[in-house]
Amino acid sequence: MNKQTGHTFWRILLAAVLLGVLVSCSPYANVNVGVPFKVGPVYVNPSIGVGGIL
Amino acid sequence: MHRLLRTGVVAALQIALAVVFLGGCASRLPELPVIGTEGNTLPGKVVWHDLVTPDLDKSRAFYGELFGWQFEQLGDGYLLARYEGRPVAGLARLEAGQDSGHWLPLVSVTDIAKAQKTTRTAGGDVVLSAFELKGRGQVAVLKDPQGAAFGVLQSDHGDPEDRIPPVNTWLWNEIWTNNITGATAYYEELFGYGRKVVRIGSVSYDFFVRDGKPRAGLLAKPDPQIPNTWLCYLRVNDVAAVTDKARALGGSVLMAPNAKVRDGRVAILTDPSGAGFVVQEVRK
Repeated sequence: MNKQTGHTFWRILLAAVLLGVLVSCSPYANVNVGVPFKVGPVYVNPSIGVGGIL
Repeated sequence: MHRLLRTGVVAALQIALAVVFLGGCASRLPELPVIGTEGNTLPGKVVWHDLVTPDLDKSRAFYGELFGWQFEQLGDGYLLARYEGRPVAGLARLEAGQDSGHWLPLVSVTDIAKAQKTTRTAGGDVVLSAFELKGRGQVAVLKDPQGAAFGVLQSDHGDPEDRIPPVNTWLWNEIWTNNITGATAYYEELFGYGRKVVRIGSVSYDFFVRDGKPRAGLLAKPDPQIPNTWLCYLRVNDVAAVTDKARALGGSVLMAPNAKVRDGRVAILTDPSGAGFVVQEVRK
């Protein structure tokens, strides 16, 4: 490894460490459900809401 | 030679980045309060709800104002919501690039590895493989064969008892699908459900039961534009007031209370991140 490559290596490694420390973690950080919730405005279904009174 | 060296360095950096990133993350997952009763196992019951959201602060403000939930920061990417002191839900931050929120119901299972295998075999997807969440147990996120996302939890501390849900807490859960037959086969195998149909007034309603208890509704989605999805219900005292408040807080009203639908006791809303949920009044 020449000197310049070595410097680059340590700089990027340092950035990786800092990134790992700084990036916040949540249990589902990378969950991509990928199905935006959309319901047409004319949606009418008389059975909706029945379940809550079973 | 120089190119070879550079390739090696890049590969080493990628490995180092992955190790640092993943290792750091795993060690900082939150520890959650126990919600179950030791020895009480209720497979097929929805035992928890987590919101995945790109903006924790906005979601916190919305649900705090709308339902009077109080929040506790657990770890740096997770908020625990309580209502009248009892844990009611979690809000988890999505990383950059994912801009749509979603409510995930977590269903109790006794063998999470088997749940993942059943899902893969049926043509579904394991979105997030089982991981340990301290205080809870093993959690995984799955998609059923029709693409509806939900979570499963193999609890270390038992499941919460069935009880009549107070207002501003979870009331019910439904699966909306374009394939009733396929969804029935999958969920019956996954959770050991049986299926039941009741008539309430003029309405026929299908739902899954386990050990004699209603666990989730099953509806043919009425519009092809609606994704196959789980839909979670919250109990409220005044559906019209909650709908107005949600709109004022930056949410959207997908279906306002409507006399034709359950006597105006139900509304479908989304929060500012686009996560959908239903609010329902239960009149005595």
